[in-house]
Amino acid sequence: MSRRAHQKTSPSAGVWLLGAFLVLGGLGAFFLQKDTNPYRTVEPLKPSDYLENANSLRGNVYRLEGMISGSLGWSQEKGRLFSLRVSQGDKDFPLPILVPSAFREINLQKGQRYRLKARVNEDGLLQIEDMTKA
Amino acid sequence: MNRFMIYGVGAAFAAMSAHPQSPAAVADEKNRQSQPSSKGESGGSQGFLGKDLPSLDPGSEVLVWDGKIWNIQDQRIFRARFEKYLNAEEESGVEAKGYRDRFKDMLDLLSPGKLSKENFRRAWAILPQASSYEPDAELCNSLDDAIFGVLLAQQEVTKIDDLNRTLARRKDTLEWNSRFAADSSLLGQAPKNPAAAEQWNREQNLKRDMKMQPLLTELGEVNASIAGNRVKKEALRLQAKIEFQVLIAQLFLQRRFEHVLLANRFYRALFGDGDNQLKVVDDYASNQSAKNKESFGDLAKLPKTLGQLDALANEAIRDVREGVESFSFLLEKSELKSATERLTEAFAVGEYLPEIRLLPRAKKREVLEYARQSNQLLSALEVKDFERAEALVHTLEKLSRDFDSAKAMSAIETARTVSALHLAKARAAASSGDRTTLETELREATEIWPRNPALAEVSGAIFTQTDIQQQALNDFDRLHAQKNYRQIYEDKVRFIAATALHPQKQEKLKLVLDRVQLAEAALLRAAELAKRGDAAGAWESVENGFSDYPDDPKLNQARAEFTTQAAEFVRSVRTAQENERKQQLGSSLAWYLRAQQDYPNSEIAKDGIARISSRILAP
Repeated sequence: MSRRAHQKTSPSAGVWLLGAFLVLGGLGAFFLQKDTNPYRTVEPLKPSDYLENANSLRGNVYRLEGMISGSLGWSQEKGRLFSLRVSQGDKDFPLPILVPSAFREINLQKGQRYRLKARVNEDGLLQIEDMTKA
Repeated sequence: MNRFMIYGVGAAFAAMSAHPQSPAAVADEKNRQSQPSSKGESGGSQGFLGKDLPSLDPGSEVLVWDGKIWNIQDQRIFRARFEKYLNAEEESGVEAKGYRDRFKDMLDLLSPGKLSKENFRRAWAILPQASSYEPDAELCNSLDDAIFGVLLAQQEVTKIDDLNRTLARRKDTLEWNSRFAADSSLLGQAPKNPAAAEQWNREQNLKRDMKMQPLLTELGEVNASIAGNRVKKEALRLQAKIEFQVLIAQLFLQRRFEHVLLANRFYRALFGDGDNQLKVVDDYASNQSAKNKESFGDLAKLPKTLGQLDALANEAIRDVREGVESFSFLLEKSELKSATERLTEAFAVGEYLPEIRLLPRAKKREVLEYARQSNQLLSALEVKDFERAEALVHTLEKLSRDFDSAKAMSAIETARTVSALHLAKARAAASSGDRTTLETELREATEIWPRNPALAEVSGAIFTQTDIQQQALNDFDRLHAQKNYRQIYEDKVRFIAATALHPQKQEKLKLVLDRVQLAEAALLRAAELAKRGDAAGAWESVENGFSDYPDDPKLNQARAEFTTQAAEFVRSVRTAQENERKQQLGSSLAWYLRAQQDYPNSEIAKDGIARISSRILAP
């Protein structure tokens, strides 16, 4: 025990190990982030702004993430209408999203979390352009 | 009919003639008129007084007089006169006795067995004394004057007779002179030469004519004077007779039957020619004017002889005597009703006869109370005061054991029943709001029984009810115009009753009450939810009611209260609704979702979400 306690390590080797760890961590974080939010380049939607005046946001594209809280309806032509619960700060905002028919292969269910890229359409409704599970 | 008054007949009969008959009497008269004249009453065979004598039917209390019919008990003035008679003392004083004795003396002196010039003069001398008795009304004086008039006429006739005798003597002289003149004209010898003889004859004839001419002229004048005087004499006699007969007829009409008898005897004494025919019929009836008939009666209906008039007067006197005897008997039996009726009948016919005048006041007083009560009963029935009439009927039943209350009670009960019927109809009309019928029925009830105690009570109640009903309807209209449905709801019992018979108003009231009841239900539900701390639910309940009745102050108050308590939820809902109104479907749906998040049971949010979703997904 005493012999092991009196073993000596080189100080430079420690510095090197710490540096390598930081580099690897940074790279890992960079790549990890790059894989989970594909719409990071898109402007995030502030739910409060949407609630305030959705019409003023018409034509804009936003990214948002939330949980499917319920299905509101379905139409062959228009697609499916869902309620998506989006968090902002400590508040949850249920927002309506229209999932066009093009995404019919995606099986959307209550409780699922999704990252979404959506455009505010003419009706002031968030119409999904792309979506992926979070 | 005014003849009674012109002749100075008692006020009772004047009143009878002036007042209309009772319905019963009129009906009787109509029946009589409609009956065929089997007894030959029409035309000249009908008596001057309709049925010759004033007769009274005790069953109907109808007096027939000169073809007219009266119900004697229905005549107020007659009743008053009868009451006065009942209170008057009997005319048994010395003066009255003297009057009646004189009457007897005169009748006795003029009786057929004792009639002489001396007795006539004695009887005539009594007339002025009899006239001094006040109840005689100076009728003996009138008779005295008539006798004097006849005697003057007879004097004139005597003068004419004397003149005619003188004229007859002159006539005889003239006739003798004429005959002498005619006989002496051809005295002397005529010439033998035919031509001279013819000439001589002509001269002799001329001389005779000249002598006789004045004699013949005067004789003609004398004959004419004699004939004229005869006509004048007859005219005077006839005039005197007629004047006297008119007086007798007048006395008969005045029901002065004793005077009729006396005047008749004087007439026979004055006109001893045995001619008792009533000249007034023959000489005046055909020329009688309508106005004269109105005043004096139809002279054509007079009896044909004075004997008939005399017999009728005697019959009337006997009838009255029997009536008074009957009265006395019934009075003894305490049958006041019949006694009063008999006395009334006797009084109506023979008011001035001794049998009536000598009736003791004590006896009359016994029926006075009954008569008064009877008169009051008649008055009460006349003025339709049936309550008082009924009380009087009971009093009369106690007073007289033979009083027949059936007629009066029948009239009273009929009036009561009919009046009650009209009142019931009035009530029904008031309930149905039919004011025309209400007024008509009330008027009918009032006319039948003006003093009906129920009338005031019922009409008061009806009008109060009507007023209340009308007031309620007015209030309803006013509150409805103000949209003050809450006040209508608070006073719904009054308005339900008032509008029960007004279908349109009833429908309006129903809508109001439904609306307020919904609001009430919303408020009740809100109160329950608020008790459980569900302010959002309470607000939503109030809001649902508010949409139906936005003017209700209670809903407004509750709405304001719960809005404060569930501010976030209310804000979400209102914003959603506002955005929906602005066609901002995304925002509206988002706010509805948020409202539902705040209050998951929100029907407003649920409906809003469903509504917006449908619109969004609509093709």
